[in-house]
Amino acid sequence: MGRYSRIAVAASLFLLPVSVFAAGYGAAGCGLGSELMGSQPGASQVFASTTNATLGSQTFGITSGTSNCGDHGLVSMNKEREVFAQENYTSLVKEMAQGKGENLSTLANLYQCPAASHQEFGAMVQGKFDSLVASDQANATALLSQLENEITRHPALAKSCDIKLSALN
Amino acid sequence: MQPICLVVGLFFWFFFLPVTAHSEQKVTADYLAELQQQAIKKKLADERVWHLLLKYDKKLFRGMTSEADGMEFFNSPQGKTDPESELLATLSSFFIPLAKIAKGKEHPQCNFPARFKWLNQQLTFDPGRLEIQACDRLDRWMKALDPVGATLVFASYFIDNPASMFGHTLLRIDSRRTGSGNNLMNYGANYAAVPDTENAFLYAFKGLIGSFPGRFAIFPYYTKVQEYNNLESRDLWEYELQFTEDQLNTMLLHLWELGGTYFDYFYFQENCSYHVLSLLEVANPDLRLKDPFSFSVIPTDTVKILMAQDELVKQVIYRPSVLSQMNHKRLKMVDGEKRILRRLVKGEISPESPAFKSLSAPSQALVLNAYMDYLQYQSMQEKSNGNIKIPRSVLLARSRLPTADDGPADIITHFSSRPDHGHGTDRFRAGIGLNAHEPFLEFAYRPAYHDLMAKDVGYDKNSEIIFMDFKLRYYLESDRVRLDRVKVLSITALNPYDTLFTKPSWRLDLGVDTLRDRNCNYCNSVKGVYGRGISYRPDFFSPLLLYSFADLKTEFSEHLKQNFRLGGDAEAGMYYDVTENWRIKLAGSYQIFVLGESKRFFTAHFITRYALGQDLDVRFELNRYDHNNEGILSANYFF
Repeated sequence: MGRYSRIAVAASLFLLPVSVFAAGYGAAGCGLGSELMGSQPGASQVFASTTNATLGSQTFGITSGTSNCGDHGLVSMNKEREVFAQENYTSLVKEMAQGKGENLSTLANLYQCPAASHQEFGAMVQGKFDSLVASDQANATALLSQLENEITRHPALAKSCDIKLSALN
Repeated sequence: MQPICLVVGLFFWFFFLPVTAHSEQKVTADYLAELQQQAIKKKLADERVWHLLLKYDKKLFRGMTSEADGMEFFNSPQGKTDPESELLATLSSFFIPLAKIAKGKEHPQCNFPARFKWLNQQLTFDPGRLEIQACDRLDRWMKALDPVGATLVFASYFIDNPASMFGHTLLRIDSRRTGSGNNLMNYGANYAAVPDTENAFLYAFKGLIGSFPGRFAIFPYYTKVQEYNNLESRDLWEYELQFTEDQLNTMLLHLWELGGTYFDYFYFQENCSYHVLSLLEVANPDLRLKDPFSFSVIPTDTVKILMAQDELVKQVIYRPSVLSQMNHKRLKMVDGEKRILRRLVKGEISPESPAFKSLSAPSQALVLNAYMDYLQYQSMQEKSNGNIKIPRSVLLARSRLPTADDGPADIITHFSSRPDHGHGTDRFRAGIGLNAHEPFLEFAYRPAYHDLMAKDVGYDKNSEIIFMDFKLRYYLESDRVRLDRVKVLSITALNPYDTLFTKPSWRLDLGVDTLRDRNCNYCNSVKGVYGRGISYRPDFFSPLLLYSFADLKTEFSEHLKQNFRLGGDAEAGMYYDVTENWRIKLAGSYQIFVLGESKRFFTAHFITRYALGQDLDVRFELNRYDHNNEGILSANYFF
């Protein structure tokens, strides 16, 4: 019988490659509903949520953590742009280099730029890409602050967009 | 009637106890009693809406039981099993004075706003006698979400992760605030298991027996798009649903209530799809979405059930994964562009190289767009430090080229097809066959999911997952019923060779089989197979798929010398779609068993299938195992 168990062990080894999981992307949410939120801020507000699809480690959170969550369990209105840029950074810089895309027009909307100006917004970020993403180490915060500078300097976008007013209407 | 009186009596007692002949409290208590009497008279506890809100379900032998497992979800200690006691206790809880609520806790009116809304509609609370509480956090939450629509989002199965083997659904809440064109900014309500293990098999087992808690969470939709579309490269299908604003409002209030509780997560029954359907039923109780499911609720079946409702689905939208986006661009390329892309990916050239610069500007843009998709996908696979980046030099080179003018003619290529157009996930099979000795009848049933001989509309073209497939044969002459095969779990993932990616194909087969190469009166063996291989499809939409595998194989049976055999096989085969409905498979293998009972032999298979409709096909197959031949004609019905 000893041999059987060895064989069983050997057989189970063959099966292991199946358990190679995809990298987890489980973002931590802000919580939901009354009990979870309570009134205490901090860790209890966030529970690591996994989707059906992800197990284990989260590579991103709503990365900046609880400080971006309002006490109502959603992303704080004044942090919407930052959290969006951070979570979608790669998609965003890719679309900026291309001059258009869904993430880019979403960002334009977050700066209150009307739909009619989105093409101009795209052209501007593409043209100014060099300064928007200054190095390989650039991050979302730097990107947004550069972007705000460029919007302010742009004759048309400075008028049509609004870098002060955060969040969508 | 007696227990109810007792309960009512208890609440009277509860309210009278602290009373020092205070008239206001007397009024309150009288009003509560009055409401409770009305609720009993109107039989509110028997109403479907109440059952939906509290997740009551009629369970065999156990009567009415709520699926919610967190006890905070109930106001009455008997709430989990007694809808009426819960209803009376809920009414009573609405009367609790605000001063009695512990700091940091919400008033029950704010904790259970969907129950409050519905009971108020039924009983029309008198604000003069029941103090209506202000719910500040809830109001801000509702205001931020401000729903005008709901969209069911379907992610097809992801074969590399057992936890997502049968796909996933979540519900996107479309807000007035974000408006059209900002779907990424909407929130998604997601129900998922909170697992405590990373071991795939433990996960699967615990998932089956419901030992993980499942919870609802709410996320910005873009985090889900990043996860499914970009990290896992799964196409998403969005089903925009038709609801009134009042229905959506009720659904969100209910979702708020669910935030505080959990459910035992059952992989096949009370899973993500089941709970998403529950949300939709709360929004519109006239919908009966969960009733048709018996054994399992599989995401594919839920989209079909939505499509079957009158005017529920407004629109179906395809959201391609990052690799589908890349492949869409590759399809537009001429050979020279494809070659340059390949060399970029291999690192032989950079966007600064003359070879790249020799392309026209639009060609350069097209190639770099595809290359950036590739880099984005690749960088996300390396989960080292969370820095997902495309090198700045590539981005910069792209930014100096004009914006591609795709024009309206650029219709996005669909690399997957609508899941609701696919066959059902349950399958029943009936067949008649003949071997060298006698004719036989065969019957098989499996609850999930898809096999490579089935029509692949709505499913992945290159893989199959078969779960719990039981097949019986009745041999007519020897008058015997035999268990022919049980595929407990069988997965085949053919990843066709791609010049940019090398991903091996693999397969796994666990179950019971018949020792078909031997004449042992159809004796059974317990079998395990794992193998790796390569496969090839000439292009994305080619009807031809070639494959080969090298497998390790072990079988246990008392009919084998030493009761087992261990070895392997080499197999080569092909699938070919002659027409949309007609598929052929040819395969041959050489089997070598070296340990236990040693043996070498060939097998050969020819199978052809003709689909008569979305859910019905007929198949004819010829199989040869060593010297034993059989032929089978079968009909397969999916539901």
